[in-house]
Amino acid sequence: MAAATSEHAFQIADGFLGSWFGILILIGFAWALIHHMLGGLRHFVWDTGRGMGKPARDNLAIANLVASVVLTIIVVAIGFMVR
Amino acid sequence: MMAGNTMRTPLSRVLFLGAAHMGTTHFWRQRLTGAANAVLGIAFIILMLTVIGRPYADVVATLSSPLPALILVLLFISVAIHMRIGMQVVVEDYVHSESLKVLALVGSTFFTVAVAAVAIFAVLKLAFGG
Repeated sequence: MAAATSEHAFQIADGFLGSWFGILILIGFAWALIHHMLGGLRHFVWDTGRGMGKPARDNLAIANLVASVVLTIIVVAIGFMVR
Repeated sequence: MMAGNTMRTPLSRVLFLGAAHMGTTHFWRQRLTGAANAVLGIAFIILMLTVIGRPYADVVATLSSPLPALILVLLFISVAIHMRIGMQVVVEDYVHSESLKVLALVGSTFFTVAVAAVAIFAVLKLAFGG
């Protein structure tokens, strides 16, 4: 939106997203989206009738959390490397 | 269920669309857009990683080229539909007052359309050089 508005608007948005608070929001947002996506993939597994047992459900929930943190760290690391 | 005791018409039962006349439409659409979101979302992350920290002219050039612009527009449409259905599920589960529920659903629809329209317009403006 800012890029489509003007260069001045872009500078303001870019400056905010580059600040420590902006980066914190970006990381949190990335984690939330990745966790939500993995949760959705878990629903696709359940849709096939698999993984519905009590231990499988608990394991999937823990795997979801762990994988979302790991994937977020990878994405953020790539982000800092290419920046 | 005993057929003789139901108030539902034979047509209603054979159409299998339930009380809201939507049947499994939302269920299926949520999965369809979910799958689209996963694919487009990963493309979006890659796209963002290529523009992060770049100067204004580079970002505009990248986002206005055909493939990135198409990815963004398709993602916004898919996410908007997915978000709207998801919010309806939450509202229907947790908002018990009938009037508040309708208000929340209407507000949710307005919000979704507004966000999608602004986001898509921004990409089109970049792509067609406004």
